[in-house]
Amino acid sequence: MTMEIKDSGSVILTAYHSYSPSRIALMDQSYASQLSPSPGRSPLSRKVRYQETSRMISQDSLHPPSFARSVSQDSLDSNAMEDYWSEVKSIEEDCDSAQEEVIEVRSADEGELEEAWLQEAGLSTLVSGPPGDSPAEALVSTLTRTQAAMVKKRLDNYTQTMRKKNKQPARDVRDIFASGDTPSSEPVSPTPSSSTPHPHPHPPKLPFWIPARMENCVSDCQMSKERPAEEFVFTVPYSEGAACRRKDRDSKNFQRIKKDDGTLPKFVWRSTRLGFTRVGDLSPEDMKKIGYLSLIELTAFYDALGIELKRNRTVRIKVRESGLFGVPLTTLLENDQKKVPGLKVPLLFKKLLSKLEQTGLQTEGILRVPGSASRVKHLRRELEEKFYDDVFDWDQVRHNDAAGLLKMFIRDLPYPLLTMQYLPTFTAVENISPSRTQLQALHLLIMLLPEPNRDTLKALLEFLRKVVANEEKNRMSLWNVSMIVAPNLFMYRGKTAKPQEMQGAAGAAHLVRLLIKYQDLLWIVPCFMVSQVRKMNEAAMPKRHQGSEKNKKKLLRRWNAERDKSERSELSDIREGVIRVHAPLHAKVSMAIQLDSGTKAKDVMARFECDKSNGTDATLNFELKSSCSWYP
Amino acid sequence: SCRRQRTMGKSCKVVVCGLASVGKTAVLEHVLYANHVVGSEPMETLEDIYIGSIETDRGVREQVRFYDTRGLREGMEFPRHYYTFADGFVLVYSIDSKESFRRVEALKKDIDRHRDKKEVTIVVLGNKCDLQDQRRVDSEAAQQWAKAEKVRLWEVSVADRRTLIEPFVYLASKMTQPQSKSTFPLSRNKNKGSGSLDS
Repeated sequence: MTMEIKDSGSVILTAYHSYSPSRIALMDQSYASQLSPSPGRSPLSRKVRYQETSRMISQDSLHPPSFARSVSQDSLDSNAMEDYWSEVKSIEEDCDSAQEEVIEVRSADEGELEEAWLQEAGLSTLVSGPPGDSPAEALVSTLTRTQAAMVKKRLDNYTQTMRKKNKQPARDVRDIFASGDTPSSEPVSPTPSSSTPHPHPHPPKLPFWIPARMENCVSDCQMSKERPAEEFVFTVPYSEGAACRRKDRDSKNFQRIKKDDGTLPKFVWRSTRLGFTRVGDLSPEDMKKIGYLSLIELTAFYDALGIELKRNRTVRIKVRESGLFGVPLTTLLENDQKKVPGLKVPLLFKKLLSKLEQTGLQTEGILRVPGSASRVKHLRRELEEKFYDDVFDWDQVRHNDAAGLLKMFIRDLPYPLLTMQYLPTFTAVENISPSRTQLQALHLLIMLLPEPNRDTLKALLEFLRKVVANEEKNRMSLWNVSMIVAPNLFMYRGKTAKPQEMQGAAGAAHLVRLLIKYQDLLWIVPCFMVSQVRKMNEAAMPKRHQGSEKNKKKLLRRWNAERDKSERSELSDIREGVIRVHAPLHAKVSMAIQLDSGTKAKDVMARFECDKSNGTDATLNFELKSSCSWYP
Repeated sequence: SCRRQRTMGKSCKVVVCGLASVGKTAVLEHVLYANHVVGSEPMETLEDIYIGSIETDRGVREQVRFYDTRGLREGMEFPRHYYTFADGFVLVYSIDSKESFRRVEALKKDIDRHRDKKEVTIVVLGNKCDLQDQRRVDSEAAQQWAKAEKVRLWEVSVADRRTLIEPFVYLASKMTQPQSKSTFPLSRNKNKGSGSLDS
């Protein structure tokens, strides 16, 4: 990280500049004097050096400026970040009055960290369990070369740490990677154990991913001014292309964060043979595997980028088990699901968002204009009492109250929305460039989030996108919204992020901006992971079901025969060019459709449209019922 | 028959048939979804299957599978396999087409040839009764024929969904009538046997 100070040629926003009109005027002058365009630079990208040092928000203000580093933020004047810091200030004020116990997040020792990592990557059985078939083994078999090398390094590390502690792990790393992957003709020769890292004579033969579009990632580093839509490739693991990007990054200067939203790259993503899999499409079991793979991939990715993967240890703290504010998201959702089965987002959160949508989307300064603090506190108390009895009077809530409550809800979560564990990992994304690589990291992080957090975050982002869509009326640009939301997401329990974690307000706001803008992309499960999960399932399959294979065949045969008898005979012999489309969830369950050379899937779908227009089966049945009983 | 099938947890099967463009799909979709727009461009059906849930006159909700078949044309025979599995038929003609009514008469004869009368329930719908000025099929004569054939006939219009409800409720109720209500429980079983031999 120290490297980055050297790299970022210009010195950047190092301090919080508290709002006072006179100072701003003064500032603007000194700022303007530096605005003379340097030759060879377009006015858009001209460098502005801003070195104003004033009051730091936290006690860390005493650090000498050279220590308080941050990423480049050229073309960001102090005004641009004003919203961010005033939001931070109001959060701190809010917390001062209600001083809660601040939990110390202690970082665990190395051994514990490695162990936790292995467990969350679904690999803990590799070191603790007996050798043989375990799901972890299936997982390992699907890893790419880069991923596998990283896992191996981790396991080595763990073995060594354990050895230092005089604890012998149940299995040696080499057993794991030697099994199955090395040709059987070459026996694994155990090297005499020493304190130096083991050499690995037999690199495992694992699927190797060839970055499909190397030129893309190169051109990405040389950000062009006109931004043609770039392709975002899902098919190649991100860690595979990362190494080449790192080289570029080391030699070139950082991508500058520009507050102009128009400078964000446009990404297109092409459907592959496998189509798009959205987060909600997978079963919980498969999603768990996606979580394992994401952690492995993210670790390999960060390794390749030369960034430390910081994760907090999970800590248990005393929390409220009921109520609305300050209740863990999972608990709140579980409570709410008793009322509304299948609920994805807490009821209060949903209600606040819809209230804001109804009243504030077109109001100037929505989210930014604060409500009165005492009013918000009063409303909060009232909500706690009345919300679940449905007697709360929502008409009294103004849009800025709702915004205040929403932000308070997010901040008061005992565990942050981006999770305690991954909050530092999220903030570390600031140190990555360019945006494409940041997006890849965010993509993996989104996959890692627990379901309630991911769903709630999505609901928030969808709302924020609507706010931005009304920019002309409410004057909240993507950047403005991001600045307001960033401190609420990245500050934890009123603690201003330490400078080494929070490298810059602009960086945080930029991350939120990426989340809002590219949410559709980020909620698609990367293709390469879908295929890895598929391989994992295939690898685990034969072992589990070998015995029942015969039975399965028998069952299938019987089942087919029965179906043949009962259904095939009912259907007409179908002519050439006619397909039969089954839609078991529709009222129109089956349809024979004549295809010609011009028929598209869309046309086929359109034939079922009549069903959709009237909603689900439930409404259909209801409709028919009501009319039948009315006219029997 | 439907009774036998229902004990196996299956729904009754109803085949909807008649001459092309008499409004079979329109009738079905309108009774199921209530969204057919009168006068909209007809699309040729090949064979579609719908599942509807209908409350019978006994207040029980029954699932019915509707087979919407391809409209018949001159010289085209109705595919025979439909006769073998159906528990009920909806024969549709259009009151503005004499030919379509003749086709219904022919279909009724064919059904009789393939299945025992007590095994299947048949309803006849004279569609497009809103087109009174273009009427070619006399209402009275049609009812006379239906009476002679011992089937129920309604003149209906997709423009008025209420006209469609009664025939479908009747059909569902009749098909799912409990066995005990049958007048000849013993002869039924015998008929079933002969019915399947026929197919």
